[in-house]
Amino acid sequence: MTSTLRLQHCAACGKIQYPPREVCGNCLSEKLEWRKTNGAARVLSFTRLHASLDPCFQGRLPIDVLLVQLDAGPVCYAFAAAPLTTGDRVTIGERIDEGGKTRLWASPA
Amino acid sequence: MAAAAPKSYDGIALTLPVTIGYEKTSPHGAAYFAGQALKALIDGAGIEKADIDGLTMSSFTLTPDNVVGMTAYLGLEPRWIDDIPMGGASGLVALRRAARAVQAGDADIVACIAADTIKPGMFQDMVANFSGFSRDAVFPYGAAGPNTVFAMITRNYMETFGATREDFGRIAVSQRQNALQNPHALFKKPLTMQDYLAARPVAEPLHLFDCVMPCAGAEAFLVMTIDRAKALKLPYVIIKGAVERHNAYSQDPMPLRGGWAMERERLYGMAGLEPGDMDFLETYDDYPVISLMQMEDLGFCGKGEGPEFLRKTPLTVAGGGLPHNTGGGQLSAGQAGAAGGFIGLTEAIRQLTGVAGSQITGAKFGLVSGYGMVIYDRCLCTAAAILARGDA
Repeated sequence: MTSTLRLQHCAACGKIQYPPREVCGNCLSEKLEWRKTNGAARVLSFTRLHASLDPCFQGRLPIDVLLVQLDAGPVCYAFAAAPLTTGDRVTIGERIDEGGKTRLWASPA
Repeated sequence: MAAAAPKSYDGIALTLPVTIGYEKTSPHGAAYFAGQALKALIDGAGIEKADIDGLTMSSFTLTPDNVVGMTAYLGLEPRWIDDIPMGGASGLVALRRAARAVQAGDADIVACIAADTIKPGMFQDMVANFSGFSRDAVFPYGAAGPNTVFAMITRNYMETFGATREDFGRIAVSQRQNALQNPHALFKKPLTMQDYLAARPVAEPLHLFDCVMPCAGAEAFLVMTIDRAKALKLPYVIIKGAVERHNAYSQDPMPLRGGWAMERERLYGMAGLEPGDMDFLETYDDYPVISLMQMEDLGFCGKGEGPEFLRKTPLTVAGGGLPHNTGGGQLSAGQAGAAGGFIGLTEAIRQLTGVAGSQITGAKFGLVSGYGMVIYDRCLCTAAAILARGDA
C-alpha cells in the first residue's frame, strides 16, 4: 500500500528539501513544513544489490534500488516496485516497512 | 571566477612516509595503529617525541576519541592540533593545514597520522551511521553502504560517456601490477582482465574487483621546514601547489565531475606546471570510476574522454604512459579506513625520494588527489596537491 510522498517545503523560499533537515538548505530558514508532494520523477541510475550489511536484506537479495530526480527538485534513493531503467518516468510514494519505518518506492508512471 | 593566488608553500618539507600494517582483521584499536605510526615517525626522523609540537589525526574508528584524546594517549603536549575527518581527502587536507601552521610558526614539526582498525561488525556500524543523510536516506535502501552510491555513479558515467567494464578494469588490473612490489599491499597475486570481468557482482555494475577491502593499519608523514629537514638529514619533498573544495557542483543531479575541476587552474597555476609535467598520478581509488573522474578533472584528458585515455595510456610504473597509483592504490593494498586518504601521499613521497617499491626512475613531479566523505549521494571533500622532489 503506497501513500503520497511527503517532503519538507521551506515556507520562506519555497525550496523542497530531501533528505530531511532542520534548516532550509537554500535560505537557512527554520520554517520547514512537511507537505504532500507530487511524486513524479525520472530515474537517474539504478543498481542491483547482491550483497548487504544487514541480515534482513541478506535474506532478500538481489535488491533493486534506484536513484531518481523528483520533478519537485530533490534527488532520492528508492526501491523499485517494477523493473525500471535510466530515463524511465516514475511515481515516488511511501510505504511502511515491517519495522514501521517509512520507505520510498518507485512505480512506473 | 578569478581569485587571488593562494600563498605558496615555499619553505615547507614533507618527510618520513610511514605505513603500518595492513591487516585484514585486528584485535587492536585504532589508537594502537596511531601509536605505531608515531613511533615509526620519531624513530625514522631521529627526533624525540617531545619534538613533535603539532599533530593531525584522521580516523573513522578512533571514536569516541579524536585528535584531542590522542595527545593524552600518546603523551604529547602539542601547541597546534587539528582533527581532519575527511576520509579519502584527509591526507591532502592534513598536509595543507600542517604546512600553513609551520609557515606561520604555530608548529615546527607536525605529525600527520591516519589510523583505523577493523573488527567484526564495526564496518556495518560505521556505514549505518556514517552521516545523518546517509542514515536516513541511503542505508535503509539495502544497507550496502558506499557500494550503492558508487554503483549509481558508475552506471551513470558508463551510460553518459559509453565507458565499458573493461575500461574500468584497466585501472584495477594496472594497479594490481603496481602493487606487486608494495610490501604492505594485502593483494599479492596479479589480476588479469579476465579475472576482473568474471568476478561476482556486488552492486551492479560494480563487481568484486571494483571494491576496496577494508582493513586495519596506519599511514603518516611529517611536515616541517626545509631547513629542519636538512638539519635532520631527511630526504624530503616540497609542495608546488595544493587545493581543496567541498560539496562542489552541488547542483549537478549526478556527479560526473568533482571539486578538482573547480580548483584545477588554481593548482597548476600555483605550481607553474601542467598535467604533462607529472611523472606519476596518485588518485583516490574508492572505485575505478572516481579515479577516472580525477584523471579528467585534473586535466589528463577531457571530460568523457577517460575511456579513450585509458585504452591508449599504460598506467603501470614501467608502462611508459602515466604511472598511476604506483603502490597499487586501495584497490590492491586495501583501505585502512582514513589511511586510504594518505596512501597517495606516502607513496608520492617515496617515489620522489627514490624509495618506492616500484620506483619510477628520476621521478621529479607527482600529483596526488583525494576524495572523501560519502555523506549522501557522492563524496563531498576533494583535494589535490602537486609535489616535487626536494631539489626540484
